Amino acid sequence: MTALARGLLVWLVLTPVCWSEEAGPAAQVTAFHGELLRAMQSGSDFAGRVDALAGPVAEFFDIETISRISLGRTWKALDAESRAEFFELLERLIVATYAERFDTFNGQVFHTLSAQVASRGWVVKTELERSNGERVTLDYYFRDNGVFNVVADGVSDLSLRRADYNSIVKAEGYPALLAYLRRNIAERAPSQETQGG
Amino acid sequence: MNEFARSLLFVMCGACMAGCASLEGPEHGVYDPYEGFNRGSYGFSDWVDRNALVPVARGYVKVTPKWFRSGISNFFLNLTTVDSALNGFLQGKPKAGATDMARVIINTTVGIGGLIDVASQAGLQYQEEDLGQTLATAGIERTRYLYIPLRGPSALRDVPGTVIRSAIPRLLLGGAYRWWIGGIDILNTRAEVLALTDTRDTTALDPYAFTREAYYQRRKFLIYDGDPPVDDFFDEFDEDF
Repeated sequence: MTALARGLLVWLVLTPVCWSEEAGPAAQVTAFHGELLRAMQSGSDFAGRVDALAGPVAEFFDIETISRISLGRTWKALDAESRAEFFELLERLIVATYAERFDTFNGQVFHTLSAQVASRGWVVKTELERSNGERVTLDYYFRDNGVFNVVADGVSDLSLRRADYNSIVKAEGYPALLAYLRRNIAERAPSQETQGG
Repeated sequence: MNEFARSLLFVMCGACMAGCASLEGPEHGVYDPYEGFNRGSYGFSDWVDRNALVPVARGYVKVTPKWFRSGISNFFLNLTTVDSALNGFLQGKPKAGATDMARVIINTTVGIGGLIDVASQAGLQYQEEDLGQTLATAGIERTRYLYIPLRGPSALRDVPGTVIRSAIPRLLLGGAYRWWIGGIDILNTRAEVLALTDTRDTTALDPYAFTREAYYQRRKFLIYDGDPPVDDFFDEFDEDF
């Protein structure tokens, strides 16, 4: 086998691996954005959008990691059943939030700006362009099991969640946090048609 | 002492205060040793906001067309862009400073006193610099959180810049400035962020903690000109992985 042929073989074997590592997260983001657009364009009501987005959210986000980081020390003190309860609540909240925010299609366009490998994961930088020309940057942070953080115009969703939840746990206790989350999920539905994505 | 000298003195005192009081706490991270005061200030401001400012702002949005509100926003943004330009130069970013200066010249002339943002349409985007960012660039990265009553979230480092921003319309308009001009600025600004605060109200469980965290994150974003180091967003949660 010539050096050229060996080189070609090595390239053929390694290239798909490189592509999957670098293009994978970007492709996942594009697919998730596609689901958001489809949910908006479908004209479904809130419950319909929740149904449509539940699967994509569960697949796209690393909700176990988001749960663990959001709760910090409290997570470590929970037993398996309580962790599962929190996980389920958080997943429902994330789905409800997307279903509420992305309710109507008004010509929104998602642009993928870049996908880069970071020291401990991947970052996909995107922009949501609204019909009035407004742009919001949305950066997706990946580790091994999916997206653990979304940074919108520089504001980290996970940091906000952690600050918010820990403040409630510290002031009122963990059961109060669960009650707040349940109420927050329930409150998403009535105001469903008031905000555009 | 005239208005300019008073403002300058206040700013210098504020800068000293920001410098002296910002030596503790995590870099760019939340540091809130005055939480008791700040929560009180937040509670009071929030009460006034909900009972006075928000109803008026919602009424203002109902009775004024969007082009009118945009014109008001553009007018005040054009005035504060002078401050942004100066801070762009102070941070050693001549391109940013020149862009803002060009914006002021174009919008003040072609844009009819700043009412129309012609510069943005021509590709000259607002650079959004301020004294707080200049101080951060100069090394004051750690700063204590401060919720200024009836003004909103800030930090000791950012107080001088906030004071300057408040004083700019008065300084630049000189004798033409009237109290109601400041009132329109406040009302229009509040109306602009109604959607944002509505989102906060439906999202946050503890709006105080939520606002504080969002403030630090947003400031860091601006300090890094919209491109903070991506590794910081991994480092922040590293011990939880």
